[in-house]
Amino acid sequence: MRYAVKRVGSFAVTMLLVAVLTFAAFSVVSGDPAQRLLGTSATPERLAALREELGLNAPAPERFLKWLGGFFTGDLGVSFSYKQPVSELLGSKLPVTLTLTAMSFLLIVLFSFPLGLIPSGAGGRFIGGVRAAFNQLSMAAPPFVLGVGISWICGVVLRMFTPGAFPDPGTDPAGELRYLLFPAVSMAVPRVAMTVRMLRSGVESELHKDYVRAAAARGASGAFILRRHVLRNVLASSVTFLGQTMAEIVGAGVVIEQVFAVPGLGRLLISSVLTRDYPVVQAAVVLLAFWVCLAGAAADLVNRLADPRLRAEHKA
Amino acid sequence: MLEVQELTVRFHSAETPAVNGVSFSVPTGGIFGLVGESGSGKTATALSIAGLLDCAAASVSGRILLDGVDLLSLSSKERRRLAGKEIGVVFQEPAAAMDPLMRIGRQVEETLLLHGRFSAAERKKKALAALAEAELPDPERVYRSYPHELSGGMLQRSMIAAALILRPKLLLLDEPTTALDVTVQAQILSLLGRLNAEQGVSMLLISHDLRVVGRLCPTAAVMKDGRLVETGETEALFRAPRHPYTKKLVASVPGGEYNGA
Amino acid sequence: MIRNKKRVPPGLAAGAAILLLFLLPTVLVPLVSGVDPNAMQAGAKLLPPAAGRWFGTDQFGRDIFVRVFVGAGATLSVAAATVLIGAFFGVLTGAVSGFFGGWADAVLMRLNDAVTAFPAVLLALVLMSLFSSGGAGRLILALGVVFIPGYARVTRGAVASVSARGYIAAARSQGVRRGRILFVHVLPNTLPSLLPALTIGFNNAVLAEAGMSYLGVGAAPPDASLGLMLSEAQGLLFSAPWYALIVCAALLIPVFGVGLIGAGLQRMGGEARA
Repeated sequence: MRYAVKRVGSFAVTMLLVAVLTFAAFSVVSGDPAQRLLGTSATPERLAALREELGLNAPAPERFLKWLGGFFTGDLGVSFSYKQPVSELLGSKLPVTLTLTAMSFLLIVLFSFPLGLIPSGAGGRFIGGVRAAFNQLSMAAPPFVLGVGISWICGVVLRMFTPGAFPDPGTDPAGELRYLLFPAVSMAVPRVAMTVRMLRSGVESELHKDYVRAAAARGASGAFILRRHVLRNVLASSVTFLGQTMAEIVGAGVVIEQVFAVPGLGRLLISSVLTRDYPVVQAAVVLLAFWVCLAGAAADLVNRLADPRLRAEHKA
Repeated sequence: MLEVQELTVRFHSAETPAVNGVSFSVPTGGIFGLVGESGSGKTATALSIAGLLDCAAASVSGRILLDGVDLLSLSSKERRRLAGKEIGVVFQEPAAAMDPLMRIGRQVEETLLLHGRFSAAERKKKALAALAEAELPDPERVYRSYPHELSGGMLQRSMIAAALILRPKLLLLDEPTTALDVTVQAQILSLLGRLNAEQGVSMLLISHDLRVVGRLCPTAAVMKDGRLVETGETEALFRAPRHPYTKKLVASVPGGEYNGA
Repeated sequence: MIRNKKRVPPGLAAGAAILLLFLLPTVLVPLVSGVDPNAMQAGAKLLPPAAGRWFGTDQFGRDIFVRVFVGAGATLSVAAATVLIGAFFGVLTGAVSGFFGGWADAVLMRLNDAVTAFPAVLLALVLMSLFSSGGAGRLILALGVVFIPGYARVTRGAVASVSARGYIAAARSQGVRRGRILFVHVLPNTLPSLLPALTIGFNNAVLAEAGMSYLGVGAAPPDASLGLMLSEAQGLLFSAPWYALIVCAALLIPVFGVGLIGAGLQRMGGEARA
């Protein structure tokens, strides 16, 4: 319990650091937002008025605190290019991105655990073949290349969906889910391959440990040992990897949303980067980093629950 | 009671057999010692008796008779029925031989789970009794502990408790004290001597250390390069070694402290 | 150390062959073909592959065969420059961190943790949006920074494990200067674990460059870059599917070859340690 408090504390510190860095980077480098909004032809009077209106005359620490507070009050400023409150803009994109991330994560867990944990003997050649093919894929194909491949095969050749035709938000939830399945698969496949490989080498190295031999000496069958000892040990060691997987999917999602024209946070981020819409960029970056750090913290907590040795380390 | 006849173990990865035509016997209620340096084939001998050699990696021939039954002729399912129930094994590294994520109690009583029907309460009672029998102070606490919370000596006592919980006929001890401090070694050896005397369990003690074998085993064999070079009463073996290798081994023990038993 | 007498794993040789076979036309085609990769031909839009224009033409009538190799050259050189930057600073910080330990180690590793809290794409995007100008240099710098922590981590681990070996302690006890120990005795012995990391890093850099250019924040049109071409080709999936397939292949072949080399190096390193 005390560890949980500490971990939440360090999570908060990391997030604060991320927020400070992001804010500092954009407020220092990006120059004067008022100038940007009004263009070079603006009169000095209008510039001064807008600066006052945007609160740019306050000292940087004060502006930072106001901005940070915005994550709780919902006032994150106004987008340069959409002329719309940033929080409203992010809020409208967030559900799609969260759904996509969750779907992909679910697919990864659903496929990699059976493939990675079923011993190579069982299931025979078919599973072995599927595994080998996945391994090859993981070596080369990044999600966005895979995404293009999947849009071609599933979209153009098989006509399972129309690439680029994401349903208007809110009108067709089932259609949205159906469409999101394809980007989710593109993100999941390389990661499934990596997870399977990680799990298999985990099982392999656990099977060579003495405690497996000791259990066999007590008369335990291979299946019993796998179920009772090996799986627990492998799962405990794979929790951290799953946390990293979450981080990877968030990154991959930014690109994949572009590939499949999914109107989510990633797509908004890219277009804002291209148009230098800094209020949107900095808020979106912090939001995505928050999600990644949250996954890391959750992984750490689960890891401790699963492994008594870690609990002991922190007691000392 | 245990008769090993012409045991040969051949690892597929190696050209020469790891164990080459080894024969010896462990008398009922006795302790037999097997001495040799690492690589001499003593661990392969122990593993083939315990049935722990991977069939894919090694081929085993000869006969291993436990009360007249040839273990090598049994199916793997029949072997498993004997493992833990008739043959207990204690390994070299107690910390590695325990599942790090599982409480000691659950591991000690695992044998009960695998052989016969015992209620949870019965299992716990037997496990606590076995831990007490292994001279662990506060068995309740040990039962609830995780492996990393105990010292090497306590873990090895727990391993001995686990191996003996069903009162097997034979206890295989593969370098049981090598990983432990010298003072703890002595305690474990005297515990094993007491258990042998009180429970009448036969033991096969494998060690590279003449002193360990000398303290515990009335009879012993010396192994080198997969073969037994000399077998006999430990006293005689060490006082008047005949084989040059045994002579070398005896000469290398400082102060000749092997005559403990 | 990798010794000459050690047998070269077949995978490594195959990987090197694949890479070489790809690099050859990448270097030669732009020199020899005499076709301007950016030359547009209004009358030759989206022609399928045929003799004389082996990979067909794109939506502006540009020759895809030439453009693919020009683009690959651009992508691979950006990746190589990225690896150089990332590896130089990463190995330096990792070595200092792993060898000297103490507060420098603590600070550098915390900083590393903070940077890795961002997904790589996100970090690269932020950096790209901060650097206001500079073309390919901007991309190289951004990606280089993104890859520093990874190299630092690998180097730190390798240096720490080599430093724990007996001969390093022996050198220390003889009063050899610490800088000399690090650069003469420790770093060369970390090569077996660093080389595979470098190859993996190169692949990640290739895919990152392609990814950023695909997103439109890397190379800018009309320059050829595999990522940019893939994003153009994606819009033409219905009318010219071969375009996307060719670009994908051009991206994956060198990555596959370098991957094989990396796996081979890893095996050799593993043998050296065993």
